[in-house]
Parts: sequence; C-alpha cells; structure tokens
Amino acid sequence: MTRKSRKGYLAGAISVALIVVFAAPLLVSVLASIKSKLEAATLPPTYLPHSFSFESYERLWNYQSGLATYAGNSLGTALITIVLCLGLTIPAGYGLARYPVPFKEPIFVLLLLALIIPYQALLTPLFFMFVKINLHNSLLGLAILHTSIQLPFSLYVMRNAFETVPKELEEAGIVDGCNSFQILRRVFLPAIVPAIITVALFAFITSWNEFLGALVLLSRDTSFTLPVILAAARQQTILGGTDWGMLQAGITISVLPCILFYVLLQKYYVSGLLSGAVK
Amino acid sequence: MAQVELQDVCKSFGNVDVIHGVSFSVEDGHFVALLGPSGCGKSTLLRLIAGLEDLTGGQILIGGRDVSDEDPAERGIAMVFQSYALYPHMTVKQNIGFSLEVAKRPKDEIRAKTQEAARMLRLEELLDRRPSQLSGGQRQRVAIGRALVRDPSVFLFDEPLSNLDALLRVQMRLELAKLHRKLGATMIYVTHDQTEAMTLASKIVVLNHGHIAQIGSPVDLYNKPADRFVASFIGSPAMNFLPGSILGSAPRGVTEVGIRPEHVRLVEQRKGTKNLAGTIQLVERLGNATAIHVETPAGTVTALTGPESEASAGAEIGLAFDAAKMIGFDADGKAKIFGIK
Ligand SMILES: Nc1ncnc2c1ncn2[C@@H]1O[C@H](COP(=O)(O)OP(=O)(O)OP(=O)(O)O)[C@@H](O)[C@H]1O
Ligand SMILES: [Mg+2]
Repeated sequence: MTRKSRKGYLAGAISVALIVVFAAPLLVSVLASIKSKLEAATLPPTYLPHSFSFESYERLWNYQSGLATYAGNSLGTALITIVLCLGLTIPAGYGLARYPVPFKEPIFVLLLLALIIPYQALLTPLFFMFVKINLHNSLLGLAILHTSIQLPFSLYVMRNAFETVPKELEEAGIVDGCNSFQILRRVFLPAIVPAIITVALFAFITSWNEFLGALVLLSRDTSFTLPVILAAARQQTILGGTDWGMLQAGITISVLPCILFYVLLQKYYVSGLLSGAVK
Repeated sequence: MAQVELQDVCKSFGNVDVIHGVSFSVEDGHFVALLGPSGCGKSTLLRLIAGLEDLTGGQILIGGRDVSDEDPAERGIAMVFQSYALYPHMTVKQNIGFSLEVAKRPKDEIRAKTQEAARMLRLEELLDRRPSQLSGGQRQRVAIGRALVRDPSVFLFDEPLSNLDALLRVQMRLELAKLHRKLGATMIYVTHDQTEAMTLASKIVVLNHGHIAQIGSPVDLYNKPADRFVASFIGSPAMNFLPGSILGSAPRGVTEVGIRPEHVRLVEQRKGTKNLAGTIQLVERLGNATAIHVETPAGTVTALTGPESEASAGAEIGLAFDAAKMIGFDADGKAKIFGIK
C-alpha cells in the first residue's frame, strides 16, 4: 500500500467517525419518532423500534392548532425573510461594490458591525417597539427580526459576489445601451446566482430554526412557529409526561426541509458560472 | 461612418496624470492604430473615446459632433474588449443580439441582423452555444459580432488579439483587415504589437507616457522616426544605437546615431580600416534571415543578414554600416538627420 492511499484511508476513517457522531442524534430522533407512544417513553430507551407506527406523526398533525398551521407559519416567515434579505442586500451589495459611494468602506464595516451585537440583547426593546407598531404576533414582524439577524452576513456575501464580476462585463453592458437597472438585471444577477442561492439558503435555515425571537414576539398560539410549538410540547404534559414520540416526529419534520434544500441547491454554490466570460 | 477627432484630451485619475493633452484625428473610414508600450495610456485613451471614462480636459468629436458628455450608447461606437467580455449566461445568439434587444428592436430585425453577423464571422454553427463552450478565436469572433450588429460608425478595439496564439492572431488579423474593407467603417485599434499596428493600420499614433510620440504611416514611422523612442519601439530586431563618436566627425548636434539591423553588414576584419569590430555573441537563425549579435567596444550591435549566413558565435568580425540609412539623434533624443554623408 502506498503512503498516499494509506493517508486516504485515514481521512476516510476520520470522516466516517465524524459522520457517525453528527448523524447519530438525528438517527435516534428519526427512529424514536416511528416507535409506538409507549415504547418512545420507556426508560431505559430502546435503540431500534420494535414495531413501526406513525401514530406520533398523527398526534403531531393534530397537536393544538395542527402541524399545518405551525409549519405554515415557519415557512411563511422563512419566505418573507428570504425576500427581505435579497431585496435589501442585492441593491446594497451592487451599490457598495460598483458605485463610488462616498465613505463606502466605513459604511460597509458599520453594517457588518451588527454581527458583534447579539440580537438576544435587543429582544426586549424590540418587543416593545413591535407592540407599539402592531408587529408582534405577526409573521412579518418575526421575519423582520430574522432579516436583521441575517443581514450582515448576506450583505457580505452579496458585495463579494458583485465584486467578482469582471468590470468589462459591466462596461460591455453600458456600451450595449443598458441603464444601471438593466445592467443589474441582465448582466449581474445571472452572474451572481450562486450568491443569491447561498443568501436565500442561509436566510431560510436561520429563520426556520430561530427560537428565542419567535418565543418573545409571538404570544398567540395560532401564530407559533415550529421551534416554539415543539418547545411548548416538551413542557406541556399530556396524560402526565412529555410525549417524546411526538417531539421526535416534530424534530424529524423540522430537520427535513433544511437537508432537502442543502442537497438540492448544493451544485449552485460550487458552480463556476463565470467561466468563459473573460479570457 | 464618421470622423473622430480628439482635441487636447487630458485624463487624470486622482492626482495621477495619465493622458497629457493628446490631439489627433481619424478620417472617416480609416483604420488607425494606437501603439505604445504597456502602461502608456492606450486603453485609457480608447475608453475615453468610448465614453467609459470621463474626460479631465479637452474634447472628443465623432462625426463633427461633440460627444464629450454623451453616454457610450449614444456615441455610435462599438467596443471589442481585450477579455472579450461575453455575457456568460447567454448563448452566442443572445450575446450578439443583446444590444438590439435592449434597444427594443423588433424580433425579426434582431434575428436577421444576428444571422447576418454570424454569417460574416462564420459563427452559424455555434449560435446556440455558451461562451464557455467556445475556443478563444470563436469567442473573439462573437465579440466582434456583438459590435457588428450595432452598425456603429466607429469600431473600437482594445488589444483584441492578444489572448490568441500566434497562428490564430495572424489569421484574425487578416479577417479584421477584410472586415474593415467590407464595412468601410472607422476603426481605432489599440495594440502594443507593432506588427499588428503596421499591417492593419493606415495611420499609427505612437504613445509614450500619455504623450503622442509620433503620428504617421507605418513606413514613415519606420524610416523617419521622430525620436529615439519611436526608433527603438518600431522594428524588430530593434534599431542599433551607437555613440556619435564612431563616425569620427559627427555632424553638428548629433550625439548618437541609429542604424537598423538590416543596414549593418558583416565584413572581414582587416587591420587599418576604420570599421567597427567585435566578437559574435549570438546567432539567431530566423529561417528567412539571420540575426547576429556582435559585442563591440561601442556596445552590442545587431546585424540582420541572409538565411545562409555562415557566422558562428565566438568569431571575430568587422561591421560596416550603410551611412545613407543612418539616423542622427541629438542629445534630447530628437531625430536630426536622416542619412549621413
Ligand atoms: N482606474 C485607474 N485608476 C488609476 N490609475 C489608472 C486607472 N486606469 C489606468 N490607470 C493608470 O493609467 C496608466 C495607463 O493605463 P492603461 O490601461 O491606459 O495602459 P495601456 O497602455 O493600455 O497598457 P497595457 O498595454 O498594459 O494595456 C497606467 O499607469 C495605469 O496604472
Ligand atoms: Mg490596455
């Protein structure tokens, strides 16, 4: 065996070990979600389910206002977050990357500075503010919070993406008669699709998983998002005790979209769309 | 079709002056090359004509109209970039038709003009490909096609062939010359390659450090360079420069003389003659000629002789100069005398 292939095996073994460590809790969750209710609650817990049963999912489906409501809320908030993130950072990134904005470096750093302030510290004042303008208990309000969490990172990605588009491409557009909006739409946007997808993906995952902000801002149970209702389900006792099976079913369902998006969109942030543009 | 005129054009980036008062004109339908070493401001000048940079001073007229404050799209120009700058997400067809589409021209017209350009540039087979699926030469032709459909009165080229290999470059050079003859449009062509400039252009503007060093026909620049810079920049192998003292009695004001390698002859070294002598350092066999570099007390001299030269490195040899072809330069490097008696 050559030295190189031995190294390859070692890397493979480490990878497998890591995957096991990371995937094990997920797997346990999924397995627990398809146990019968009784089995899911036994102590010590069993590893493999003795019998398949989707009753946990059924209970989750009908839990309080119903899974559809909560998943819908989560999805709605995530979509609004994506729209707001892209709507704000595409023009901002374009401007900061491509126009001679006065003081643009300090402005950029100032905008990124928001990263160092934990949003949790702002939740209380934010809550009072949102109550005043009636944005609490609304998905839009929550989406605004999620957008503000995600904004610095998104802006960073966008500006970088705009900066990598060759200047000549923009100038070709100018000579071809485009105004700046046409250049943005016809020349830049197709070239930064990977960045758009990256920003949208991270906005989705942040919003979909965010718990604390949702807990503070939402108080009506029909407007809860998935993480909030799952937390509630853990504390709430039905027939004395946490319904572990249902909880695991909830976790399984809330993990699913994240994995799905990641796998489906993977090729975009690897793709080199720009190859062939210059040289 | 239009005449292009630059009047005292200046450009600075911040406090760096890049173009210092350049004036020249290009007659309608002519092919003019902007030639100069890297960093002399050729691209900047072309981008000023295109309107991609704002003038710091002076005026630019196209077809007699002052376009100094107009947007690039209004100037009636088309530009071919050195890096081609094809839109990567569009097919060849869409790339070529893009400017017409932006101008909201009818679909039939876009299709007809795209087809016409593709036919002229032999791109018909490639219309549905993306730029990433094309070779360098094909990309170059698409970039030219994109300029073609706009029916510009002035074509601007910024080193369009510099990314191609030597053979393709010669081919494309011929095609460009053909295209110019067929269209009869005014063309301004930036290059640092003197062969390109001399073969394509009827007039060459030589730039040095943002100044015009000389304007003239290729033959004029070769035979009657205005100064030492033009003399050394044009011609390959480069002109030889020797101190005026080798003439014995140099004409008044001449401190240095220049002689092209083809006007230097190798002669047998004999005692008592006043010929310059030296040792052959290097013999370059170019196929159609031989370049011989000789180390002399007055500096290295290059001679260009026939392909069958028997010279070999290390040999002692004498050099004779065709005095009628010598150019005398003064202390400032200005050419004073053409042909020394
Ligand atoms: N945007 C800019 N800001 C500051 N300086 C610039 C800018 N663009 C060009 N320059 C400077 O202007 C000078 C001329 O540049 P230009 O690109 O016109 O040279 P060039 O003759 O085209 O050279 P090359 O043959 O290498 O392309 C260079 O010294 C360059 O550093
Ligand atoms: Mg250049």
